[in-house]
Amino acid sequence: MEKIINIAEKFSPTPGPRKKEDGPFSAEEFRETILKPAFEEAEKAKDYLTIDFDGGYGYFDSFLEEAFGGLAREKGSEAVEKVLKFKSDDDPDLIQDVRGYIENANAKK
Amino acid sequence: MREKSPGYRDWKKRRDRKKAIVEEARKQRRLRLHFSRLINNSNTNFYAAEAKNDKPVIVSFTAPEDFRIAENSNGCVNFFNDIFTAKVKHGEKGVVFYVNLKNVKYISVDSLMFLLSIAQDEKYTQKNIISFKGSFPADEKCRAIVEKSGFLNYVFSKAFVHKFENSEIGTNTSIMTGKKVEPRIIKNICDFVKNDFPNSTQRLYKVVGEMMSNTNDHAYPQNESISSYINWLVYVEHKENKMELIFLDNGVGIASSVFKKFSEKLANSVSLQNDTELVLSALRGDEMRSDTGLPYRGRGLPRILGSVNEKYFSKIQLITNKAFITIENGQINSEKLQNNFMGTMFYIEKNIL
Repeated sequence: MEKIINIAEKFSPTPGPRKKEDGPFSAEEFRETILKPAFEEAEKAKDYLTIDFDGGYGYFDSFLEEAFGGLAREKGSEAVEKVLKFKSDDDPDLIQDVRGYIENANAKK
Repeated sequence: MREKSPGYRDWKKRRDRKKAIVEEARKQRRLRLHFSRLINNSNTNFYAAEAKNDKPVIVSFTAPEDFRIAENSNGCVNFFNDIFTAKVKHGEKGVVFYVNLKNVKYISVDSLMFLLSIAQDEKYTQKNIISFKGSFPADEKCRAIVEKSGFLNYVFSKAFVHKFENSEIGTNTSIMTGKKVEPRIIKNICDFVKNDFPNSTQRLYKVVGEMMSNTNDHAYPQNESISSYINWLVYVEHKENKMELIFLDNGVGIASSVFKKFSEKLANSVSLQNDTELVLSALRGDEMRSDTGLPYRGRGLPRILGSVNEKYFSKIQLITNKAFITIENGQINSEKLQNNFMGTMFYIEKNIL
């Protein structure tokens, strides 16, 4: 069955910086404890994983890049694009940004 | 009383404590006397820390009459740089830096924040060898701004200070400070403005987060960041029909920290660096400017510029190193400062419709 992760409920309504050492509720922490395990489970079950961005205060670009771009750097952009679906009624532009981070995660200089 | 009895030990402890209190009071009296002899025509109203020595060297700095960084950037930058330069000359002994605000006619919270960032920074106080003292502005309106800004939450004051009730502070937050990226503080800012800007708080959260992240990642060399009590300061105020947000740090500045091409490094080495061009380039995101060298970094500043272009905010001013940039109504105006502003200051304005 398709799984949904609402970041505000499951992680924090106030997501923080890129790295753990930069402050609380970091993207690195989110990716390691919630996103990556759920992604691997969905990938194994050949299912989708929906990420729901609504309900929180907002997201720094660096958080989104590290969480989703970081996952794509580890698992490959194509694999991540295949499994992840997004929902963001509060800020619809955000989905495009996240897709960009996944697509360009491994871009060279 | 027997020397080793518990009664004797208690009595000795009480006597020593009393002696220490009397000695400390004498020391303070001597310090005050010395201080008042050296400083003429002004009164010490606040201080950031007491000097270690009994008789410190006192260096006095008089703030410009217009003590607002955006309105009198050259005057304020010269004033702050005087403090930095003096620090080098007098850094060896116990020194009091006396900041005289008495003649200030116009003041804004940004200059108070910058002053605070210096006074609270071990890099400048050299582990409290230098302590900061100062006087309130004689002008009542200016003094009220000092009191209301929350500046006095970070310094000690023996003077009578008006204690603002919560209902009175309804139009502004106090100055808030931090070292790393602190989502809790950004949340408080968003909560403060959300009634007037229900559709902009997500963007505000993002932009303030990027500013904190930039300060955390690039403003301070690793060892300096550790020595500092605070890395950034933020303040929000409702003024008539607009909201104003000030965010600043006293780090190396954007022009100093961005990635530079070889030709730009060369220009920098012979003092021909064009700070305005470097900062504008980082804001536009048209070249790789992140000092991490990673292609997926360096998106924070373009996002801040985009927030004005997409009309989330009405105006942004950015002062860093020798660059003073104003972005308003789709126009970017830049100005070159005479001297280097040792830090980065963002001013964000949003009109209430």
